Amino acid sequence: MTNLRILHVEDDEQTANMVTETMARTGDRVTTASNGKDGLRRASEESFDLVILDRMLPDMTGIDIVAKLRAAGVAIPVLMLSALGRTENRIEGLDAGVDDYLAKPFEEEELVARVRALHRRATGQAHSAVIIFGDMECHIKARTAHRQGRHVPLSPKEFELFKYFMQNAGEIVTREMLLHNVWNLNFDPQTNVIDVNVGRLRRKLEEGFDKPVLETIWGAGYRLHAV
Amino acid sequence: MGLFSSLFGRLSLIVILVSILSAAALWTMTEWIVRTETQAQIARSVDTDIAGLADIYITGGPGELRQRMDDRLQLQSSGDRRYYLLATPSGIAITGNIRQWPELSSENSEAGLVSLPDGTAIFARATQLNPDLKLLVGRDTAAQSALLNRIRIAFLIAGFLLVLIIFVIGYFSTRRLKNRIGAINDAFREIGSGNLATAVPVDQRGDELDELSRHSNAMTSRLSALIAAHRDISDHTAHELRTPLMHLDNRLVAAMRETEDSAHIATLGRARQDIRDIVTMLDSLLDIASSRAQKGDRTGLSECDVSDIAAEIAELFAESAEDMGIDLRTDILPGVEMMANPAHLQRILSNLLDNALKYTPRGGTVKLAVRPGPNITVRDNGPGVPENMRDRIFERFVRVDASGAKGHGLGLALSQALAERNGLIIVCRDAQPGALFEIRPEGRD
Repeated sequence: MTNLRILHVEDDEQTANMVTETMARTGDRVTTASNGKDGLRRASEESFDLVILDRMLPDMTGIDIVAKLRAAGVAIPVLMLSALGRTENRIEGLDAGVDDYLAKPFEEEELVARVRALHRRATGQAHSAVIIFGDMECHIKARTAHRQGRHVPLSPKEFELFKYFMQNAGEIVTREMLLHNVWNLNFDPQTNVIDVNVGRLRRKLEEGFDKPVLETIWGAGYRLHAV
Repeated sequence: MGLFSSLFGRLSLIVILVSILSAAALWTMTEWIVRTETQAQIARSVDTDIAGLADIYITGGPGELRQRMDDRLQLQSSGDRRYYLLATPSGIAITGNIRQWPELSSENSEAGLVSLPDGTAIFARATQLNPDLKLLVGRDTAAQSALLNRIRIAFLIAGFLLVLIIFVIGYFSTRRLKNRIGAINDAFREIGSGNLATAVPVDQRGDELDELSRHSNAMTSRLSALIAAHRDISDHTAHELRTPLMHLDNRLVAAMRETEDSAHIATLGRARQDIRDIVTMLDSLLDIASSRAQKGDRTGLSECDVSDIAAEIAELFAESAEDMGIDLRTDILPGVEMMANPAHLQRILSNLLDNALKYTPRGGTVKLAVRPGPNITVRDNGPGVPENMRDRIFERFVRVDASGAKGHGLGLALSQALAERNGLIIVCRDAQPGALFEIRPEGRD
């Protein structure tokens, strides 16, 4: 796993420390900018893999920063980490050009998973016609799933779910990520619908095979692992 | 806008009508005055003439009278023809240019308009000179008629020009006024649909319309300041609450890492869940407030396929329903579209389906139907909603079943606020048995 250089624009010291510590655990190095101006300058001038951006900064908003970055042609992936977590806020953020939006308070695992997924997406690792992981294959164009060479029949939505897991194979995928990326929902339905849908996919992927592939990470989400 | 429903159309028509009527009234009055005046003039001239001839008869006798009558007839002017008739009591002409005695009594010195056999209208007076001789003097009214005709034509032309001028002035000035008011209305429509940055145009003429525009602009800027303040308060409330809650959450995480005691970990885990519940409740309350504040605001709405959205949400819940032993059926007519925020529709439908599944017992049925309108219904055959609660369940913190159920009782209040934000309304009815939630455009039954 590559170690990422991350710029974190955040005025709240506690959050900044928490993010730095959390990301350090996976080997990533976080540089903190404590105000918007500094953050904007460093994001445009220095070389980072990813920016984690607070929304409400003392001198300017994260929305302004990302808009300025995008206007200047800076395509660096941006994860907005904000205390404004309502659907409306998320959509505003995404519309302004951020690539992902995470509301405070958040789980450490969620942050790590989002940063990893965002980086993967940005570096284009997820765009291929066939994704092979362990004994599983995902044929993007034919929209088919195979395990150990056997075709696993999936409904269209199950395939979307499988594809997303395959694109993020080996990494933690959180419920919120599934909601946003597979179901295109920017709110939490406050029910276990995601677990139920993942459960169904798991049964299809594991029934008739001796080894499980889709693991539940307690308190975080799921992970597809290779056997 | 039709001619009569527009203020300017009505105003222009009234002005034209009034100008036609006043021209007609002025003409009638002028004609009456001219007619009576010329009439009087003719009468005076006839009276002078007849008095003169009577004097000649008295002083000069019948011979002299006939002589003088003939002289006068020879000196006829063309515009003002004179008519004379000297006749016997039985009306037989002795001399003059009239053949027949008209219906005028000479004994009473009667005067009036008479029509000659050739059709000429004349004003005449008769008099009895002596028992054997009567005299008639007349003047034709052609000059008067010609004058009246000229007046009529003058008034017709003047009246036509007047109406034309009024029409042209009215047309251009009302068009100008209409454009100005139209611009003000356009600005208000834009403001009404949520674009508060729109300024009502001010013409700098300093007239009443400009004053209206300036007042409107002042109100709009105040309104947008209030909305911005509302937004600011919402954002800051969220920020100022979520930030310390996150610090608290971080401490709980740190505490969980430091203990091995599973009971402690469970307690700390519950405390963390409480934090998430508070955040969810806060978000729901702010979502409700923000949706209500933005009611009628069309920004953020786009043409979206209600059928597709409903089908996707139904699919999301399909597995859960199956696990719960509930038959989730859909009856979705494809291609139902409306102007809405798709995220709001997703959320409303997700809330309603989630509720329906929660309250339907194993073996029950939940049916989601979409019809043009749009008309979206979620019907279950659970216990239903008591009649006295069917309106109240859309209020904040109100739940049908206060015991047991999870959540804050904000789901339906939020759904209703989101529905209203999109010009829709949710009503709860009896599905006999069960509950029926119907989403339909607001203001339509």
